[in-house]
Amino acid sequence: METSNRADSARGNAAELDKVHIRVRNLSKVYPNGTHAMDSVNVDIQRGEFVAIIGSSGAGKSTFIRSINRLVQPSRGEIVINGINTTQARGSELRRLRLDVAMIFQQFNLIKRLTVLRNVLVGRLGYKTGLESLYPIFSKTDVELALNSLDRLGIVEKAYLRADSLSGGQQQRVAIARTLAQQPGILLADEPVASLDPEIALVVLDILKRINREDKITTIVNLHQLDMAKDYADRILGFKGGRLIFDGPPSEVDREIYERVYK
Amino acid sequence: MAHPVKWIEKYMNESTNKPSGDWSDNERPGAVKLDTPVVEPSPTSLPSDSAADAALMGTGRMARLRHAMRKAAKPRRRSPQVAMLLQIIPGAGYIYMWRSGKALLTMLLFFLAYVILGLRFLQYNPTELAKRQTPINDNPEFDVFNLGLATTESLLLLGAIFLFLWANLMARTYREVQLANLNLEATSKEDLRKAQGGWLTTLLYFNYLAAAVIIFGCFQLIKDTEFDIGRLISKFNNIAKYVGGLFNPVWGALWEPKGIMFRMRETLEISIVGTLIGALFAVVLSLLAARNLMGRNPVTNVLYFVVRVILSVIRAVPTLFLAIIFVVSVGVGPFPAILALIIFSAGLMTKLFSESIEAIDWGQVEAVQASGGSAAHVVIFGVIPQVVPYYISGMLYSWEVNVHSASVLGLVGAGGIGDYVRDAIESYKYAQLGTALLVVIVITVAIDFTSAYIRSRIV
Repeated sequence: METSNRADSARGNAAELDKVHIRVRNLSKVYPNGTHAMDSVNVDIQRGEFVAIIGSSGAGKSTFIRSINRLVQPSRGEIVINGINTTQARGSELRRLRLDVAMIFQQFNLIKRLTVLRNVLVGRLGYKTGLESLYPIFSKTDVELALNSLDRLGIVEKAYLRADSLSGGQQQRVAIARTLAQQPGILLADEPVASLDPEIALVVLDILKRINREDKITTIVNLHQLDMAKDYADRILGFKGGRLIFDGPPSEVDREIYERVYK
Repeated sequence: MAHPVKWIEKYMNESTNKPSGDWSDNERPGAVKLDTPVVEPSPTSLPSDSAADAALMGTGRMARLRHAMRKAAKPRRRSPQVAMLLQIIPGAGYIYMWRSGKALLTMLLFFLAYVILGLRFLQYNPTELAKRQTPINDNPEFDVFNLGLATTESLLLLGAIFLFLWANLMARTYREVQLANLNLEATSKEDLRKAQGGWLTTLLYFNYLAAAVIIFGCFQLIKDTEFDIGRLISKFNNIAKYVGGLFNPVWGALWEPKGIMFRMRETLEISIVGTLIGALFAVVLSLLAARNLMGRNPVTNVLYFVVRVILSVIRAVPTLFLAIIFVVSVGVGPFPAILALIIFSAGLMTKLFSESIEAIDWGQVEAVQASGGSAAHVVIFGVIPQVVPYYISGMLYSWEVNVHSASVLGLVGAGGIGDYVRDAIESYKYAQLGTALLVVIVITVAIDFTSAYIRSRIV
């Protein structure tokens, strides 16, 4: 497996390879209950791109995003990140992949009974190895990094509050701080604003855009709202019934594309 | 699924008999659509041929099996005669009708009936019965030594009840399948009307008779178990003698050496130590017994089933039994009681704990996984913080149960207040017996209330 990947990358054009961050080929997923969630998706995502995925519920957006960090195991096809095929990664290999691919969720998925700071430090878990990693005490540098991440998002004063005492928008910012502490190359966001008020949704998207620009993190965002996707994304992927039916810049999304994706 | 008769009544009350709506392909065209128990395809599933299905679902053998079962469960015409004859084995007809819940319940009830009837037959001995019904043995004191022989009448009655229920089951099944078929096939109101009347409808009235017969059967069981209010009333003065101390306590017995308070403290210590050590085991075992943690990988899945089976076996052994075994093997005193409680409460707490793990918000686990956390990180950061209050609550509950158990264990020589109670009975100190009971009741009630209050506050 490993050798064939190397051969693959050796054959490819080096310059092109450097630009393509995530290469997805023939990716399909059939859930155990027989649902075909994703069918032969092919796409190349460039380094530093801000990609928005649109589509109605059940179109395969979440499955696609979750396949990239392997919270979902694809049934067929492959995902190549930085020239390395990650589709069959297991154990420590999988942990290294997930360290590089951070994720934020619709329901924030903070550990509610822990403090904000501890939640951000969860982003450092992937760097901890051996027996000391089981002890929930973090090094000074880790704590410093976590506090800096919180500071960038303007919620450092909440660091020692319990995570569930924060509002929805603040919780999502903590979740973003967690991914920053992880220092990833890729940021996945699965419906990050679907459970937030419209104004707060815009704040969160602004933050994601800023991180994408400042840290050069390739960002893939699932969005329900087409107007938000058009405002923020460099590129839009349209999913319908598990297939990728549109791939292009926001300017190309017109009435006809909208009808095709949502009807 | 509604009862077929209900669908028909609903239909008949409608002003129009014109069929409306679209037809699903398993019904023949022109059929009156009364209900749609058809499994709709999920809107996210793609149309694709079954060969591609099989290729993609290569590992999902279970998935394919489930798919086939769903297909078989679709409503279709079934033969009422076959269903009725299959009910000769109670429940088999329901399997034919694809009603697994009804089938299992029927099998359970009829199995119990078989067991009771069978055991009564084994205890049927007319000669012995005639001997014991002589005037000499009419003395109620001798009832204590009754060996539980069955009388001829009670056997005949139970048998008749059983046969009646059996016949009723078969007739009901026939009727049910017939109505379900009508629902699929009827093209007009007249067709549906045919289902009304006739001897099978009349038979439905016998359901009330069946209910009456079941109640009567229960009375037979009461008679067989020698339930006798008269005996209770005639012996009431005995009860008063034994527990009279409850209302007239001997306070001096509380503080004497090896007295009530000494034994009560021992009981509490046994329950606390048993709960704490049991909890240590339960914390580890609960992770292995939680389906959501273990069910994602074939190896851990096997481990999960092994742990589950062992725990079920452990929970099935009564604590008193465990205590007897430990008393005879390690000797009398509080130690065997603690051992028994560790085993019992580890089983109980593992069940409570693993159920709380199964109810956690999986998103928090995913967040730890998505940050590159290992399996141990998932447990420490994703699982434990969520379940801590439930663990504390489970421990308190287990402690309550253990206080109850520890009070009894002394009866078999395993220390605690039970030891005192046994001593008091054996040396006819009924006043002290009542006092001990009073102390047990007061302390147990106090612990129950406190623990329940704390549990209601933390969860």
